[in-house]
Amino acid sequence: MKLIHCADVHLDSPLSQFPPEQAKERRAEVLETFCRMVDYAIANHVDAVLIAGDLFDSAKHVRKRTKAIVRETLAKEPNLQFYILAGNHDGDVPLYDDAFPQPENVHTFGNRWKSYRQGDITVTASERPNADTLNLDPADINIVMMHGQAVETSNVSGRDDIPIRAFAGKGIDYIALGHIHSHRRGMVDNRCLACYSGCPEGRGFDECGEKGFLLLETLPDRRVESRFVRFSRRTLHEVRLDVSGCSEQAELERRANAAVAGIPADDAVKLTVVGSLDPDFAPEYRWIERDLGERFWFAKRKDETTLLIRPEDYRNDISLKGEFIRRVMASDLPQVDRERVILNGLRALWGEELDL
Amino acid sequence: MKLISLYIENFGRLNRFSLNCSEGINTVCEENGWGKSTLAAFIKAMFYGLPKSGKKNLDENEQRKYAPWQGGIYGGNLVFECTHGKFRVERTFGDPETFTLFDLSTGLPSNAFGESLGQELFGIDADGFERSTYLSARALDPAGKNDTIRAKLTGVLDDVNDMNNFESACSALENRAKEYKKTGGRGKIGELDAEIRSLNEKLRTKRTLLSEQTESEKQLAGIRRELNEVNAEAEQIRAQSALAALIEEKRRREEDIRRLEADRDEIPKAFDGAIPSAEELDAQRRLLAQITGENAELRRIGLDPDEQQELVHLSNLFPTGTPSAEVLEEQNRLAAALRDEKSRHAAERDLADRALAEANARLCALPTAAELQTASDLLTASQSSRASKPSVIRPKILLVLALLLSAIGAGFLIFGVLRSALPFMIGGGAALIAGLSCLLFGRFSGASDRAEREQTGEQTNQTVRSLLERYGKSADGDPRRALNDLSETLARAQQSVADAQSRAAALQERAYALRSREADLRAFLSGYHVTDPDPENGLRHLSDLCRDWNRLTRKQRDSEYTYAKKHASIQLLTAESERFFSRCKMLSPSLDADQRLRTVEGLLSRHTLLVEEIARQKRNLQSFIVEKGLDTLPPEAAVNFASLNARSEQIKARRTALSEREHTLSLSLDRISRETEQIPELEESIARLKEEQADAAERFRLLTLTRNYLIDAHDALTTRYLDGTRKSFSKYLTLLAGADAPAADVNAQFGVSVMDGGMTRQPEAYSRGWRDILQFCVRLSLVDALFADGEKPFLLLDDPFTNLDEKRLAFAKELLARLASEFQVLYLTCHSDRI
Repeated sequence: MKLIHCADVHLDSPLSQFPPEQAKERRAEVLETFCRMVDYAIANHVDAVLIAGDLFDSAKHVRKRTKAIVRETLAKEPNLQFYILAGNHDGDVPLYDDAFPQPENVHTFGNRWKSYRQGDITVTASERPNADTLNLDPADINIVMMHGQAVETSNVSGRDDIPIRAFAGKGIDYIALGHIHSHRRGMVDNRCLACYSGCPEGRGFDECGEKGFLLLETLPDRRVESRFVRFSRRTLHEVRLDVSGCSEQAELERRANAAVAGIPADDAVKLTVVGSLDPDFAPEYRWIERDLGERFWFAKRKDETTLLIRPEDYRNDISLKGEFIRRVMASDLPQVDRERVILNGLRALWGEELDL
Repeated sequence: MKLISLYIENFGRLNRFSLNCSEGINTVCEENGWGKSTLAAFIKAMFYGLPKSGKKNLDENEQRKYAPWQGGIYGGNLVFECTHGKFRVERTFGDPETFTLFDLSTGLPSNAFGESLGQELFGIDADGFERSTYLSARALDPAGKNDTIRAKLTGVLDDVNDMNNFESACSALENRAKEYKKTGGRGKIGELDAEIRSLNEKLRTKRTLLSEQTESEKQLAGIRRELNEVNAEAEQIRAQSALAALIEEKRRREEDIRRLEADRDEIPKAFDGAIPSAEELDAQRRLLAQITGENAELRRIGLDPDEQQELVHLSNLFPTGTPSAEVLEEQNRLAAALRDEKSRHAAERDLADRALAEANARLCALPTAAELQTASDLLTASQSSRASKPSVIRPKILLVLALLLSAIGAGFLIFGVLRSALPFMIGGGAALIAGLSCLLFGRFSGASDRAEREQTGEQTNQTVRSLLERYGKSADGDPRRALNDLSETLARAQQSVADAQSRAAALQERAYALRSREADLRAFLSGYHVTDPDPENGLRHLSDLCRDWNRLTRKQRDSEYTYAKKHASIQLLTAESERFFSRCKMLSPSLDADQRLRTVEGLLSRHTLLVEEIARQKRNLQSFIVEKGLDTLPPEAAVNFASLNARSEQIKARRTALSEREHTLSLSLDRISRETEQIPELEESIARLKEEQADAAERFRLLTLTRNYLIDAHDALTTRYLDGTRKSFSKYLTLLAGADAPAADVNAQFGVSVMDGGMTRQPEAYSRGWRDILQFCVRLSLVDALFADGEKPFLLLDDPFTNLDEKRLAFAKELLARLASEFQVLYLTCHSDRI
């Protein structure tokens, strides 16, 4: 028997890290990836799809059209079963109502444990998972779905915390988890494998790297094997560019090129510039940003550089620059503000483009 | 630094003007309008050049202001000395504008300084120069902005760029900050704020629709529930209606069967209740087929058209009947005899022609009688010639003549010799020669005659032999006899030809007779229009025609009999058939037998089909009743059909009303949904704009901070030279004003303020003279501050003391004397009292 375990699709997410047009495009891509995944399931004779929470990003943001497409996609193959667990983001998304009755191949869960049997497996889930109230038949192949942050301790502090060790010895074969947006796996006991599938598409630069879903297969010895399938339309990369010691624009550009080498053009790149720069060197990032913008689907730069300012260098500098730096450094401004004030003050004095 | 000399080629009103300068005070005292200010401007221009300007106002366009009044080269030179050496600078202005610096120690052009000579020498620009070392009565406020003065004053001359750029830096920071925030809520932050407010307003409007949307959704759900109930009831009615429809269908089918049975029962009535059996119908079909066959045979009896046409043709040939067989036989016999006779005649004619040809051939192979006669005559003549003697007369005559002539000749010759008579000698010689000639001729002529006779005889023999050989006779024998044999053969051949010709004439006579007989036969045939060239063929053709005529006339007679017999038979069969058809009332008499038969067949076939169809429909009806379960229905089932229809109509109306409400509500809900679905985008946009606004505010804050720190740094640097400036100012004010000097002070912006009467007053509150004193002191204090170290400039004083009273003027003169110990002073004045 083959199953797909996915989670955290976050349909209709605002994607505010991107400009409006690209956010719109990316939202469409996330939805398209979900539909493609169902097509993949149909084409590969998958028996069921487990959605371990957060199919939608928020109840108030989900669009009517998105719900229509999801309903249409879920109804595409009546023999393909969908087990949908609501996550902390889903809220009360009315996917089905009187006008659109829930089809027989779609199964949902509530605040108490609920089980569905399909072939030789049993799928159990609850929106408020409590290990104490979970009773399963160890003779079954038991798959449990939960949405939350798996914690090792038994004392849960957060609303979404799941004391994962409490589920040891419960006769579970596989725990399909959602909430963490990157793929993780670990054994709960000798029998139970717990996995986060991660999100199928990265939605921001806090979700970089390969994204997809887990393909599960029940083996003859009743074990459940899982394999990560990379499935995202595009990958997001955060690249750190260390400019320490850079004193020429050409060198800066060379390092930037080297940092993004090998990244496919369809991907999105965030270039985080780090390191310390001499105040006398005013790096020009406009060309780098333009170049990256042309090379990749999306690119942005984040400046985390610090100015390499040694107060002793300016102690006897009787120029305006020396006086200015001395005064700023002696101020009670936060270090970040000091650096930006000094950087822009010097650029203004040198007649160069301001960084503000 | 000091001026050594200057030369003005043309500059304003000055031309070809020279001035040598010494250390200390150099006074130029000239009346008003001489050009003292022009001289001062020339000195400044030699160090700084003249700025280019497009302005029309002469005070703002020095290039135009100091253009030579009298034309000529616009410029001059100036010799000066500084720590770097002694130099001469040469400049021309206008077009072309040139600059050359000569190092007077080498006399060569020098690159020690560039065109910004004053800037490089004094560390201040032209404006700074004019506001410091150039002291004139012209009200130039030293507090006016001049970065180079401040840069110079702060002692940062080596790194003046940042000081020079201070104002532009502040301006850039301020301008950038204004992009974010301007007065009146303008700038990016204000714009974003306005946009956020606008979007918030839209959002608020759209959020108010949410409750409406929820209410509409509830209403729509209620309507759909009701609609589902109505649909369910409609479904029930539809099922009952379907049952009623089935009953109706059963009734309709039964009606169809009854109609078919009525049709079926109508057909026997056409036959008086006795429908013909299949056997009877078959017999009738056979009878009609027989009649048809008999009629076909009847049509075939008699001559066919070709035969009829042939008979007509033959009747035309034999209008009086055909020739009898005997006549034809006799004519055939005659024709056969004629053919045999003609055959024999032709054979004989061939033989006769061949005999005649052979006789002619033989005759042609023989010599003609004339040839034989000629040969015989030649032969006879030859034999006669040989038998005769040859002639001796002519030789003798010739001999006598020869002797005579010889004698005469000899005599005349002798005589001539004797007498020496030449003519006799010639005559005698000639006669002698003639005599000798006759002698020789006589002997030759006799021999020739004999030879000729021999030759003639030989030729004759040759001709005869040739003739004999040509006609196959031997020439060895006697030619005469051979000639005679040939003559006899020729006579026989001539006789044979005559005989053959006679035979041919007899055969021609017979040919005429045969042609006559053949003409008779043709005349017989032509009487029957037979024109064959061969009489025998013609007779055969005539015989054939006679036979055909006889055959056709005989056949015509036989047909007439057979036709009558067959016609009678058909009449009998037709009568029998009519008896059958008379049983069916609905047959029209105008129809022929086949049409009537087809009608009968159609009626019988329809009857059969109706019987079968009725049976089939009855079976189908039974199956339908069983299949639909109609056999178990109560008899009153159909009675409810009308009420069902009525209820169905009610439900339809109810459903229509509900559907319309659903449609209206759906449209309304769609419209509201379209609006409310924009809420997430609006919220996202607002969040994004707020982020942008926060970012803009942060940038504005940092820009403001940067500018403030830059100004603070600048002010700190500027105030650093203030103490020295204040001391100098106080010193010069005391020197110029004496004990009356007010309590004045100079600030960091070179502004002067006076404490008078417990109040701080501006210089404008004082007289012109006092204002000049205060500004003069500020300038001198500036010069002190500016040039405390390094190159000391000269002081260019353009009549600065015009407004001073005598007391202050005296102080001023003393001050000038003190200044002259420290600076080279070029003092321009128009009044000797001020010297």
